Amino acid sequence: MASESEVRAVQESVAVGRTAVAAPRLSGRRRLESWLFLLPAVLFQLNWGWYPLLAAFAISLTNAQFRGPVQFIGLDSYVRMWDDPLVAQAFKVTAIYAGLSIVLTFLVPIIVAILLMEMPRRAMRWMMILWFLPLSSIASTMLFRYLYNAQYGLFEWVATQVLHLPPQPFLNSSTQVNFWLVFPGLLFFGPGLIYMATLQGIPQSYYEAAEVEGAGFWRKIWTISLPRMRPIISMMLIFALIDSSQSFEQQQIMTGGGPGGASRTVVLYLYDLLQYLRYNDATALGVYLFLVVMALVVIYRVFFTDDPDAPQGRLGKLRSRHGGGES
Amino acid sequence: MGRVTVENLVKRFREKVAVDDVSFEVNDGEFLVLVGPSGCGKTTTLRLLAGLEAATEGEIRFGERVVNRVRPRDRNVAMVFQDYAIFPHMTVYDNVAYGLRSRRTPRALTHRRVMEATRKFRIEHLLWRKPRQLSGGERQRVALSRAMVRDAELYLYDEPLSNLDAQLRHQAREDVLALHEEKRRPSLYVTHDQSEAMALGDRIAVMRDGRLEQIGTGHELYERPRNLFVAFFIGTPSMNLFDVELRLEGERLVASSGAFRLRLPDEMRPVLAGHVGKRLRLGIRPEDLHVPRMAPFPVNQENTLRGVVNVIEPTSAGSTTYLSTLEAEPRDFVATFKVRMPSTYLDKEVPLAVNARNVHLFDPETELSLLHGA
Repeated sequence: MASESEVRAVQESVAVGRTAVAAPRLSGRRRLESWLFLLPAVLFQLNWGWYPLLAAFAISLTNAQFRGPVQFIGLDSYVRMWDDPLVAQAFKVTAIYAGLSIVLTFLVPIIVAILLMEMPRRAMRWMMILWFLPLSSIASTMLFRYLYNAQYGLFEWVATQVLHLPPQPFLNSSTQVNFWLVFPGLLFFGPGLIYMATLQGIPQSYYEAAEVEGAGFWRKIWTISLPRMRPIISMMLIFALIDSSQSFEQQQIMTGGGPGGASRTVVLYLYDLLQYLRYNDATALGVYLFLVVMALVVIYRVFFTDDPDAPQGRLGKLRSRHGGGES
Repeated sequence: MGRVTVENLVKRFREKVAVDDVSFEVNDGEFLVLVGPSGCGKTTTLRLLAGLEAATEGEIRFGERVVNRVRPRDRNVAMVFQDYAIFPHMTVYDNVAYGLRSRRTPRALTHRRVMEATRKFRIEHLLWRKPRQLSGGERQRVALSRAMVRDAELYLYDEPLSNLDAQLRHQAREDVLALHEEKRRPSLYVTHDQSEAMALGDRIAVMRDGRLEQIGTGHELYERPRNLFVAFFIGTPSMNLFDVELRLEGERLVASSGAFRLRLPDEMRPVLAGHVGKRLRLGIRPEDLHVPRMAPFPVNQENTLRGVVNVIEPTSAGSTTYLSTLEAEPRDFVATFKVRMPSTYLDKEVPLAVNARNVHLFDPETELSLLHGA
């Protein structure tokens, strides 16, 4: 039988051995395991994310012919697209569409969500059912094509018979078309739900403190609701920006880019180019769009901090120094 | 003119009565503490005064003005919340200035006030920080500063110290009192901690189950509790309670239980005459039990209580001793001494002298005090 001290010595040496040798091996295995877990996601991302992206850059620098040898043509496609007046027009249309869609389908839901939260509970529930009807986007786009019809559409009937206006062209007018394309988006109140969930997460005591401190309805919204929603609003704004600058289905189904290109967005024009088998031009245009959206997002991220509670950035410090009155 | 009056205030949430016919007033410059166990309606009372809840019945007056239907923003009250409710997206400066800006105070005045208040509460070096960068104590001082910059008619505190650790709490009490000293307006402070109430309040109102049990200075509540609840709730350690029978043995009035026979002072006889032969509750404060040798009154068989020492806890003032009576079913009780009790007394039987002048007697049915009536 081993003496007690011997046993202890053995235990100690085992313990020392375990910490000295086993630990690194364990962490090495962990690293391998974590990569194994990540592998499917990484493969997906590489195959369907990065490969097409890089392929697009590559294709845009060639003549991209199906038949015959593929030749490197440098920036020819980019130059051709830069000089194409239809590209300039498409970017203009996209900017108008994105601007309208951000005002109508991004700003309006914020306001509606805030107002809904102020309603009595029962009224709020009914309003939510009305607003958040789940609708298929293609089906409702088809429905709206009927509603906008200049001969027998419901909107035309409302305009002429109810409001006694002269007949309206709706989608046939180059000035109105983008507005009417954005309009259905008002009813797809998706972001509204997210805003309402955010609003519900704001501690009631903030509002109570504000009330005791003399804040009215608007001041409470301006100084509490909106700042507390800032991370979500910021994220949704970026989504809205990316989404609306790539808009395509509505235009394709409802107007085909008409009238006279007044609703031909960049992606729709890109689609048109593909139809004419101008793959190199289409990818070059895609790269241009990518750069513009990327630039917008980067600029946005540089100038706005998502987190309202983070220590003040340069901009915030400047603002509060002036507002706070360091006299 | 600055007095705040509450009359027959009732608040019902559906069928639950949170505040049940409460009346009191807070005089100008007075610091009133509402104390009671959780769920007793003290916070609801405070919120009714702030206007965050609407009274079901009764009247709240600021001076002569009835404010029942006045919105919180128009009541001109300042409030320190339990979770401070300082806005995490604003700097300390903006938080403190919030109330003044809401009321369109001139910018220069706002600035001066904010600077004064934050200097007073030692956070002037943190003005451009956001709450996330502050410690708990600093956040609490931001909340106090926000109340400090205002000229409110009433200052409300909803357990503002309950989120602080014991060390900070002491300093924070001083800060609360500093704010009150500066303003000298009616102040209402809610807490569940009776020692905090005793330390802070000019007067203390004890609440239970939505009702106001007793209101008075700390001294009054401690020495002359009107009922069993107040007697037990006020004071740490709590008052010892024994079931006794009141007897008249010749000229002597005696409270007798299985463990002891205590002669009561003769001056109590007129008050207690009607209760002879009845079962009563006898209350003895821990500090009214003395080591016989050191008792400031003559000790004899008629004022001695014997017990077995279970635990001795040294304190700054001496020691707190936990004992049990010598009965078939021993009852636990507590005594506090001004001297250190040596641990050799553990598990020993000791005699204790009772200061019979300071005992309390309660009717077990109504729980009302027989000695200190309304």
